[in-house]
Amino acid sequence: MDHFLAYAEFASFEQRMKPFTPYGRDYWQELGLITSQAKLEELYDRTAEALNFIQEIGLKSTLFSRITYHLQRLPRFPQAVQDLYDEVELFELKKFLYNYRLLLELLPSKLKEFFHLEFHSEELYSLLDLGPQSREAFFVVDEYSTELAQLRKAIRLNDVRMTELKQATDARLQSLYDLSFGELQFLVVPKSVLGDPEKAREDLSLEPFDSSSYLVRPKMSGEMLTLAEQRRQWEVQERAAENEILRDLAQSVSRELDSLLSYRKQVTELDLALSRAHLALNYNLVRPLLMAPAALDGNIQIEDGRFIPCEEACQERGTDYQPLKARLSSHTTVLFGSNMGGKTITLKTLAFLQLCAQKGLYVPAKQFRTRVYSHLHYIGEVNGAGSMRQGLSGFGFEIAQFRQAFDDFREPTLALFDEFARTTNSGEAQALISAILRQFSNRPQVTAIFSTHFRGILRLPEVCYLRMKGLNHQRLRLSEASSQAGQSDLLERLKLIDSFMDYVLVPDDGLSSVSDAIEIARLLGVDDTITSFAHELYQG
Amino acid sequence: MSLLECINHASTAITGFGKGSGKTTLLSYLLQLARRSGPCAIVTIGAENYSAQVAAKLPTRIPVEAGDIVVTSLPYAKASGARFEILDTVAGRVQAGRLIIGRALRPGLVSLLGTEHLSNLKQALATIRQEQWAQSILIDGAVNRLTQVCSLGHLQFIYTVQIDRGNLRQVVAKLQLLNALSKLPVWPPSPGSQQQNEETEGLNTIHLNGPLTSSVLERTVRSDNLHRLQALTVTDFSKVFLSLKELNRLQVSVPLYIHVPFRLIGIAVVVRDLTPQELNQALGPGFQVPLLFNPFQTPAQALN
Repeated sequence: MDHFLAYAEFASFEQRMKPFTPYGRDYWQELGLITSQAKLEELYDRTAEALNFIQEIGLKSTLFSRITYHLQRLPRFPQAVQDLYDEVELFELKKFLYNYRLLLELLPSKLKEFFHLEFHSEELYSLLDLGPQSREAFFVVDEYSTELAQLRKAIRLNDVRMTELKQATDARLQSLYDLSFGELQFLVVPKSVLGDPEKAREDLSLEPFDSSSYLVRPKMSGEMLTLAEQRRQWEVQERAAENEILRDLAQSVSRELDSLLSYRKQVTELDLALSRAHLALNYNLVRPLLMAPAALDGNIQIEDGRFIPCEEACQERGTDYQPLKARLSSHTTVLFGSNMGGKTITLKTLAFLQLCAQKGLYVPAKQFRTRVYSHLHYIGEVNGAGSMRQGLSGFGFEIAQFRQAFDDFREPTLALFDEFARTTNSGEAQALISAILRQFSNRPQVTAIFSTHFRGILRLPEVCYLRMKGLNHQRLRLSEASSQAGQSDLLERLKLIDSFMDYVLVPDDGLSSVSDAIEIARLLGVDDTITSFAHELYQG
Repeated sequence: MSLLECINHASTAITGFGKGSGKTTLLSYLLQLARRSGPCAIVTIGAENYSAQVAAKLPTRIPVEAGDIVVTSLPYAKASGARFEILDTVAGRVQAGRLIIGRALRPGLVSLLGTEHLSNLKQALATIRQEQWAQSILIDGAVNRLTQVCSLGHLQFIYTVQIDRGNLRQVVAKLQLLNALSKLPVWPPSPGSQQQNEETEGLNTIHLNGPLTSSVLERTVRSDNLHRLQALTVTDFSKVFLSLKELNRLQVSVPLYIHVPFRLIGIAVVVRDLTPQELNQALGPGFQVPLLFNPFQTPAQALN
């Protein structure tokens, strides 16, 4: 599967699916291949519902912004019943309930019904929102218990008295020494200001600062010390009272936890559906058509399928991108074609579409008809597969991949072979591919597609043989007669090849030759004397 | 511009040369100043002191008032004499428990705690700004965390330093280097400037991702192409590990740029047995960074 994902260059597209909630992100990150057709249809239905809703209100509407605002503010919260939830956990629960409730107020009834979004936890929310606290914040407020309120009142009065005493001390020090501490905890004072240090010690605590100054702090009076000690004791009692309240709140939360988890599950479905719909709108994706599992004779059809990494690369390069049209008449297909003719992109497009479909996403195509496979395999070269190769040669690596995949071929599998065995001698390679073809022709549960240059492989009635149409030689000659293409740089040469290449699949009867390689070498700038001689040799 | 005007509506990192430079004291003082114009947030970088603090049972505590915003751990918030409503959580978990963004509801002392993961701290600062919970943000930026502090972006700096006759020479050298670093131009030069016209045309530029040390200078820059080099850039000032002499010598040959602006708004200086005039004289006439002398000296040499 890793090879298949890498081959389809799926990772960067996958990251563009951005669920709004942390639970949606968790789900998406952990999601593997979905192999249940019913589950996929359910996901597509949800996407369709979300898509209808977004199209109704507009992706840039205030309503949609407000919905995503509340979704983004839904935090994680504890999932298990606990004897005690700490303040952070209660904050998370309250913030969830607050945003979830407001979210539901924004959604139309139809959508709420579809996603089973309900809210019956007013009582718990009110309990967590007691007193004068901020709507999304949490604090164990005085209103939870009389004892707590009394303790806090005592602390407040204590603080008031302490401030009065500090002000009185400050005034005294001002009159005695002309010192104003204000909010400062200490001052650096010239020794001369204090006069007799022994006398100053009655009001100030002194530390040496430098040869001419002391660092001085006001001394606490007996009453101040008593107040500070009293405050400390009340703080201890306050914490105990708070913990008692937390335990009571934990019971209320535990009773409601099943409902909370159900809200979270349903809102995750909504989040994912909106995110999939968002992606579908951004990339012009459509719902895949899944064939029934029993319809083993049904085969893949692609109408204007787009391999998004390639489409974007073409946009960057300023070249046209040709979407793929493909209709496979058999579950086993061989695809011939010249170099740079689009064989690999054809396979990659299929891999990309299939991954989208089996991750529950809509697909970049006008239409994509496919089956649900239990396994997806790619057998061939993988870019950057150095560490995966474990010392095997290119051919050895492909064979190892094939051997690993072989057991899966008893179940519904999509297997893509891109120029399998190209690094070994052509005679043996053709024999090997022919043997595998024969094997697959008897396994309708496997959809296998081989791209290859080897024209001598076995022709079997059950196998569909196609080829990329390749260079349009006639148009190329006409164009070259009126241009200086031969002098352009590599990018220009690539653009030229792109513009004369028909990336179209046509049936291959085995008789017509596919021979664009020498022409492509010429277009890429190989010296004319070489390509002309090569052409003569090839023509015999 | 007064110091209050400088720190108002801004994020200011307070950093010092090692322990005992008066960073925490200045932080408390600036907090009092900042409150005059609106709520203030106070955060610290990193959590490496937690074990030491627990062992000593004496974590450094900052006095907060009602309305102050802090980033700390839940246990620290609960242990504080102040009370905090939890406004948000900071992603990740540190040894001391979950990190919170809390708003003080009454006065008290609280220990700050940061996160090891800069992205989480960045997110916390962004949240504080977006939600408009605080008008000013003060960051306790320990000197050994300077690189991380710089990577938070959009910050200004105040350095704290204690000077006496024993350390005068070393400290003056450090301050002069800071002064030079604060003058480094930002890369890329602003459009339309003469420098920009020259530099954007110049292809011979080295962008250093890591630190600029004497050996790096020797190896990378001097080796073959210093005479051809038109610009040298580093990520931020904390990546420059050259002496003032080396820096000056380099700049004679090639302009050095920084990608993140270094806005040094002042240096809070506590001098012992030394007059401000003596220090100014030692620093020389080219020293341009505002000096804030002995904020706690009386008669008050007002910082505000």
